[in-house]
Amino acid sequence: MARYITKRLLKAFLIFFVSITITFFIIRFMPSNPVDLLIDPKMGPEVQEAMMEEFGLDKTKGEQYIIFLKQLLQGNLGTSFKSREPVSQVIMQKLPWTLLLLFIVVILSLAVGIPIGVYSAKHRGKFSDKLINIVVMVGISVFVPFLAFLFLYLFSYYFKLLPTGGAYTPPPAKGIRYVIDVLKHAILPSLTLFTANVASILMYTRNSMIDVLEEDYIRTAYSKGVKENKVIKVHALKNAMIPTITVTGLMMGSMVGGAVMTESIFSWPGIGRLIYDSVSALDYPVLQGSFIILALSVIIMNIITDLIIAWIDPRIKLEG
Amino acid sequence: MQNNRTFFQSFIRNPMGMIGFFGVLLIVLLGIFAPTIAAYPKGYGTEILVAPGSGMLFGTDNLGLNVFAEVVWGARSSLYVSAIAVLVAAVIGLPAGLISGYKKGKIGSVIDGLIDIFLTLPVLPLMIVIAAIVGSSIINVAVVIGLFSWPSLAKVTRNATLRISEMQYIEAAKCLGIPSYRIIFKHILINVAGPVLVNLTLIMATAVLSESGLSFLGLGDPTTWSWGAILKKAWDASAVIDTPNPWWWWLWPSVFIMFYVISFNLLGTGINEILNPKSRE
Amino acid sequence: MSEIILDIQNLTKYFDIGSFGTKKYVHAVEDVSFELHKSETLGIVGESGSGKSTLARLILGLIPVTSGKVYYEGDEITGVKGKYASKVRSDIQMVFQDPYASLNPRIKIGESIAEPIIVNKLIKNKKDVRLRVEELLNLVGLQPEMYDRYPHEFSGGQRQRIGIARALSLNPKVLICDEAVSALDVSVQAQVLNLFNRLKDELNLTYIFIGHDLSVVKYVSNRILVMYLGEIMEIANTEDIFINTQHPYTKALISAIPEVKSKGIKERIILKGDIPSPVNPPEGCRFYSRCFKAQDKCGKTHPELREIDTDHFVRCHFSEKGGNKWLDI
Repeated sequence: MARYITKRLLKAFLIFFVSITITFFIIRFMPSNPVDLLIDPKMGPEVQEAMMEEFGLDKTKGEQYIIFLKQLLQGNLGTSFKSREPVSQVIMQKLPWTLLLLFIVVILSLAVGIPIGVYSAKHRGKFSDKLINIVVMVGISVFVPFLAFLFLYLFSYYFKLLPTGGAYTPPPAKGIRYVIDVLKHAILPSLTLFTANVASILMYTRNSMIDVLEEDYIRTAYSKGVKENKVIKVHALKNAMIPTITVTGLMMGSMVGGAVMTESIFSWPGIGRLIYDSVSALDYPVLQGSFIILALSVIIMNIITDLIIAWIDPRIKLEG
Repeated sequence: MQNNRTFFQSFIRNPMGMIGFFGVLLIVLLGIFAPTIAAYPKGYGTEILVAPGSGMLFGTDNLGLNVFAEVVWGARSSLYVSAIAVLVAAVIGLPAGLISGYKKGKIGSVIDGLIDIFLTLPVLPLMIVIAAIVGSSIINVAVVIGLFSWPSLAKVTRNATLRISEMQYIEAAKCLGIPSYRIIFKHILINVAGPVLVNLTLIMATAVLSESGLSFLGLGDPTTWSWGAILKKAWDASAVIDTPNPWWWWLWPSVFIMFYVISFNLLGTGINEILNPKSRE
Repeated sequence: MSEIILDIQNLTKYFDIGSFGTKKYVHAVEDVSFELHKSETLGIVGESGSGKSTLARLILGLIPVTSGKVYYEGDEITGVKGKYASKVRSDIQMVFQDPYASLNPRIKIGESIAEPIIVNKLIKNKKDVRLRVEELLNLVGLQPEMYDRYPHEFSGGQRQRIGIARALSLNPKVLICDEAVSALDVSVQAQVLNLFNRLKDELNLTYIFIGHDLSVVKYVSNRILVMYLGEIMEIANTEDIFINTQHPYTKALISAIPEVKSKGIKERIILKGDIPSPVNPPEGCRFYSRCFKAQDKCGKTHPELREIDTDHFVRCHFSEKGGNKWLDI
């Protein structure tokens, strides 16, 4: 088990390393001047000079890369053009909101996608399964802003049930009323992201469940009747879950992408909205920092799903 | 898939594939004949925010421009962007998958590792960062999307190549002194064409989602009509939540995005079902 | 005997199947040496898993050797690369086992045969290439008009003929036939074997003919080499193999042929169990676990390959010059 974890952590570290290296070189090797991209031209000349030194922009690319890694280790992601605050500080204010949103969406998608996927697999080829398949086909083709618009139009504009944006009604209330207020604001963004993601989870559950149901011992168990073989059925479900969880981990990347659009539309004060605002403000340090943090979150989620899989399937632990 | 004729015959009998095919055909025709279907929307129209109906099929926007014309011209840029993205993805992903599948050993595992890394990365934020830096011309956007669409293609190609490399006719080719590049890009490539084709249609679909997303976030080409750009304009003008509510402004481009994506996904599913009859329901 | 065209010296192949530090090797081919004479047909027999296919691939250079050397017309060809290698490689060609898997399903059969000619620049002019391919198709008994057809339009026997034509496209001197007829129906087998014999005379070819069925191999071979678990058990002229059988394993293989029962073998010798795993082969004689004449010594001491008679080599402690009575049952 220890070996398995070490291997996963090593892989995660590698992914993170590659992704920050990509961002570093993209910014340094673009036709535009990296000084323009990393240091606000509106700053005073002394400040600019100090920052040139901090980022080592007068040094070679190799040295700059070392400096970049060192600063990253210290949590230094540069200074925002817009707010003049350290990027890490800006991001830390926003990150919890994004994590809250993703947490709600993952839990909801699994809670809904898995049972329907299993149901669909058991009723394979029947009318209900075919109907679910059509819905899945539409679901995996969905364009996130369109969903957001539809929900906004229905629930905020037409029925006037839910707020159109933000995470809470300012000024923030205290205690339980604050929590209820936030949850109310979270409904539409979560619903949007949930609808965009549940289809894939459902599809993978269905397909892997079908594979498992085809296995001989499961077929026998089913033909023998219900109660005595409950153990085996639980086992089947466990096996069928493995691809689903793997996919959930892999989906984090695209889910984060959907979150950028969702947060932008609903003015949800997370990293996604931060990216949207930074694009229009051309705040490159914040863009770069946001990407690094998102990559890190995705990688951590992947480690978590790997650990869950190892816990479900003991064979993996032994394989190392 | 015995030969082209039986493939064609089974394709006609596959409802999903056929629906997808005609959907794709419709969009391609719209894109190609955009200039003859509707005049390029520019400047200002006479009547703003006209609801769909007589004369204005899809209504007009807040500048009085015909939403139908915008959507038709949007089809053109969507096709353009996704075609270039697919091209870029194929140029990187095909050799990567073929080579890593054929030359197992070190090269194989390095490329395989890279594929996994790129599959894990949050691609849209990365595209945003890059698109923001390289500037938003339509070709830049297309290339950026292509640069991040190759991993799935490479993975599919690699898996198929691993299987084909074990075939005896590949060993026979080696034995007959046929050079590796020829074995890879002829003998193997023609045999992995099926799964590759399926994946390319899926990339066509996701490329449009990415392009629309980038345009919607303001990173598209401001000088070209695209579905995402129309949505951005509608959103910026508060067309979704304010009264009066010109729902037609954002509904039609959204419907077209979905139609495009579903058509390509259906086409891919259809081809896949014919190639792997077992996966049929 | 005529001049030596291929000289195989101590050829050995271990496949590393260990994972994460554990060392495990498949002993696929172990210390195999023999000479191939010009214009002869050497048959190699053994059960599946005996290493005969691996041996063929080692000679062709399709897989790297663990140790040992292959000499072609006096020059070492093991591990050679570049121009010279491609010249040598085209002199030694292979006919594959499975006629259904050895032809690329998406390439017209004519093009399959033409490609090596074009790639190796044997003929430059396209028209001439086509003429040459049509000639080859004729040679193996197919119609030249079949050039533009795909493999799936042919029967197994026809496909094997296509495979032979393709192997002949490079004007090879040595043809290695790896179970070239075992996938075919008995009636078709005979036709293809006759084709092999005819081509040998017409083109002055030298064959290595690999098979698991001794009755088929003896039909075309001048000499026969018997392999078991990666090692040579016995090698002799075809006649000697049958009349002066020296190895119990060879005896068992012969007894399995229906029509030779009369020649001193009263009944079929049924070997116990399956061929042992080549991962960690037994210490003594490799055939010990299944041998019907096994003694204590066989389980402990590994027998060497000894020359019992002129050009007759055997790997058995008990075989001796002159007689094989001890093998009777």
